[in-house]
Amino acid sequence: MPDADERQLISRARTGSHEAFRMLVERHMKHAYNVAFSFVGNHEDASDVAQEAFVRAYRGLPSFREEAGFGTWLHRIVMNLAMNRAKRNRVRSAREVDTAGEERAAEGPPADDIREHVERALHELPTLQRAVVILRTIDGLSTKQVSTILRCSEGTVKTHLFRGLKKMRASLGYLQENLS
Amino acid sequence: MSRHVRHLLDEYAAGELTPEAARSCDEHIAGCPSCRADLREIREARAVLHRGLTLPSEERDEEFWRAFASSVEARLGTPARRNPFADAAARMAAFIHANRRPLLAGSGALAAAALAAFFWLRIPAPGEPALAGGTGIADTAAAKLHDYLQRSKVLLIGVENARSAGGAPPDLSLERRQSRALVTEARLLRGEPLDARSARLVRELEKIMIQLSNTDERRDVEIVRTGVRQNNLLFKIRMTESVLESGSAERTIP
Repeated sequence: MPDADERQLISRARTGSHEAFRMLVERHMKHAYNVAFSFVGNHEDASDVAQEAFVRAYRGLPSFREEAGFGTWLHRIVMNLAMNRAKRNRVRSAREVDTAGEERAAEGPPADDIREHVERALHELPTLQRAVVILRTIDGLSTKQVSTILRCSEGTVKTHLFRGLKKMRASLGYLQENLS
Repeated sequence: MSRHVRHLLDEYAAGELTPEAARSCDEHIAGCPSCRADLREIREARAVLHRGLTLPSEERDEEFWRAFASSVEARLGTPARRNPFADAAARMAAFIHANRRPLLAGSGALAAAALAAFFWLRIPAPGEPALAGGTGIADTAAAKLHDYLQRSKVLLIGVENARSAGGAPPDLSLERRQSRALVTEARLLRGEPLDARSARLVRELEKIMIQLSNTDERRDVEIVRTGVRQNNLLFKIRMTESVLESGSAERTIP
């Protein structure tokens, strides 16, 4: 449930108050951006997806039932858009000749770029596992919040998280030395 | 030995368990090499994730965040990806062509092209204000009403002219989708300070849009067309538009 202040903003935005909606955007924009980025992996798409999510949220306000918080509801919108975008990007990049990839391979992976390694490992996870790992570990949401966003049981979240983290550990084991 | 606690290890590692649950986990882990190994892996994975990923939002400067909300507002004034009304206009031409009436098809195509061009030109580039007035999300009630009426008019004209070859019912799936969006907009417009006549027109249009959105392939669209004619909706739209365009909107719509 949204807090009282947020409920008031939602109610005003529903009646067409752009000022109220702008305040909701400003409250949630960074979080939406981070979620989008963790799926699409680049700033341009993250910005586009996060903005589009707010547009969808605005248009969907009449149907927002306030059972969950606005943030949780928005989170779901961002995630769906971001997952679609990531899927589309993957299809596109698979079709294109990855000359940049060949160049990178020739140079060898940048050993000190932990972030790139982590992102790559994340993107190798199955979609649901990736979503759970991102939402729970990176965004710091509770198991219950993640289960609300993904519309599955807390048990399912725990199972996917456990498997996802084990795979991440297996993929990134070689980084342990750099981190310790 | 108690049951494995794999399902609790992440919350255990994050320190989110209740003291009782944490104590119970402690006891189990102390005597279970398998869960102990799993806990170590989970802790390592969490450490890599936290060290490897700084928040992407922190990499954007203040200027980006100041512009973010404005960009959302600019988008709200524009159709999301495609312009369905331009599509509808193009489809009108296709319908007329399908009837194989060359003269009418020619004029229909021209009208459709003009409509499509009109709506296409109305789409601002990203970041530009939505309407000619340059008001973006801060559109006045009059601007929103005008926009809503124009799109309703195009849709209703499209429905009025929808014909298909061979006597089969015309495919109105696109029009139904558009009418659903217009129903939502009508509901949003209700919250705006409209004058009584405009508010009544919006209500009448909402009813007809609901009717249209519920018309399936098998039912005759004649019901919707009759409703439009009986209520003189196109005439009322044109009258209200001319009031808004002549600037007297300021007097009737506060």
